[in-house]
Amino acid sequence: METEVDPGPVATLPPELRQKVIDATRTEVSLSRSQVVRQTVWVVAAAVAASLVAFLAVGGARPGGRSLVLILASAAGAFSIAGLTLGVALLRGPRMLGSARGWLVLAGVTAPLAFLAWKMGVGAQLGADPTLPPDRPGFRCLGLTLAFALAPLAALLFARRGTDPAHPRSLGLTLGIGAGMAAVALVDLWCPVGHPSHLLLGHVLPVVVLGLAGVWLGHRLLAVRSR
Amino acid sequence: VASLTPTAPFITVGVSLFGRAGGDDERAPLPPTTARPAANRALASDAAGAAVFEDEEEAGEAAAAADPIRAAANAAMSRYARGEDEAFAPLYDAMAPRLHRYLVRQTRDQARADDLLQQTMLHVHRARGRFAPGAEVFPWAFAIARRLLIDSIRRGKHEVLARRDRERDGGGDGGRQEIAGNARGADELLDSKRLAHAVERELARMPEQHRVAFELIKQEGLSVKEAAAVLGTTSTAVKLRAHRAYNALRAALGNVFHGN
Repeated sequence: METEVDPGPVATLPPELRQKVIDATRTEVSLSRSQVVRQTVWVVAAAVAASLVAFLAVGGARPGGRSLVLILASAAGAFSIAGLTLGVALLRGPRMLGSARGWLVLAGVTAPLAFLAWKMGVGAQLGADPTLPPDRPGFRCLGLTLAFALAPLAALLFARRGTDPAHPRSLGLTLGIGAGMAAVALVDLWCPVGHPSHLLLGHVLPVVVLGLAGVWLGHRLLAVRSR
Repeated sequence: VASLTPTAPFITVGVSLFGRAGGDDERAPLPPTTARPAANRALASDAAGAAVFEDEEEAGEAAAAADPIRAAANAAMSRYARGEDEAFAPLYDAMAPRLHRYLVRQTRDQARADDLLQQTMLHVHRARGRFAPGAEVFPWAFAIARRLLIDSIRRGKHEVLARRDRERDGGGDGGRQEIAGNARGADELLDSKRLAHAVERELARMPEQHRVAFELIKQEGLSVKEAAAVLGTTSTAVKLRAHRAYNALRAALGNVFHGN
């Protein structure tokens, strides 16, 4: 009967592996926390500056017949939603694995809907022009939103590259949506049109596109991968 | 650098499952599970199982806070993240045995576990600058190890399955070694081996999700919350998975203790 007993697998940690790993770390440079923080600040600042330059290049904020209160209220909502979304994605507190997947997905899914609801509500309350100009279906806003979001999204992906072992796609989704929402907030300062179909095509669709791109890029860039 | 046998954690699991304390009666036959109706009722449903692991959540966090190895790993990681290169050696010494044990259990392949451990530690090295101040390093490292393991399995799925089949058929491999004898005598060693084998066999049989949740909590000492973060799911899901694994093991080990 004794011969039937299998001792099971034995985990022997080879002594030589320790020196091998330590030697490998010596040949591969890695940045300390202060260096990473400095690098990240520069990269994100450069990306935000690039978006602002692009925004100013197309004319900056334009009232377009809107009241100052409407412009401020609309932009405040858009920036708040962008900030909350990016907060869920980026603020980890004392945890390396960040927000749970459910929170990331929830933030990513609700942000565009919340923005649309906010725009419609504020427009109805503060007297936005409900008509759709025939020459403004929304393609220009769609292009601008994608253009303004490009550099910030790239910077965020760079800052978090190869660091998410748990849910890189969900993080990518939320980063894409967050960057898109920040871009939409800028576009909102520029675009006076409040018609639902224009908002859906020019302001919400690009955010959704950026979110989907974030899912793909998250899998490619944010995930921990073997080399 | 430590050499580990997985038998000890398996025995701990067995003891934990049956509420068996060490001491003189350690080798006494356990009462049949059917003779403990209160315990069985408590574990009868998934909802009850989740309730059982509610306690595990609090106990796990308290245990984590009191674990000197985790404290040493966190301290070494904090120093390493600040740029103190010499902190890598103590970080390795604190983390490598647990990570290696986990990887060996998952792969059943010593060489692959060695390789994955090396990759995991190199990822920790590369990402040291992104380590959040005050964070726990073990859940993060386990999540990295698990991700690399999944990548590895995807790349060589057929190879791993074939190897496991060979092992189950009794082929064994070079990584297997005889357990060192202990002072308690041959009978107890035999019991330990039988228990370890039963746990291993049952763990191998259960769904991967259940097994990993159970192992992270019961064998690696993570809290339910930390295991949920490692697995990218909710605490409730982890509790349910661990509970199902717990029930399966409990039933299987009951047979071992009763000589079946």
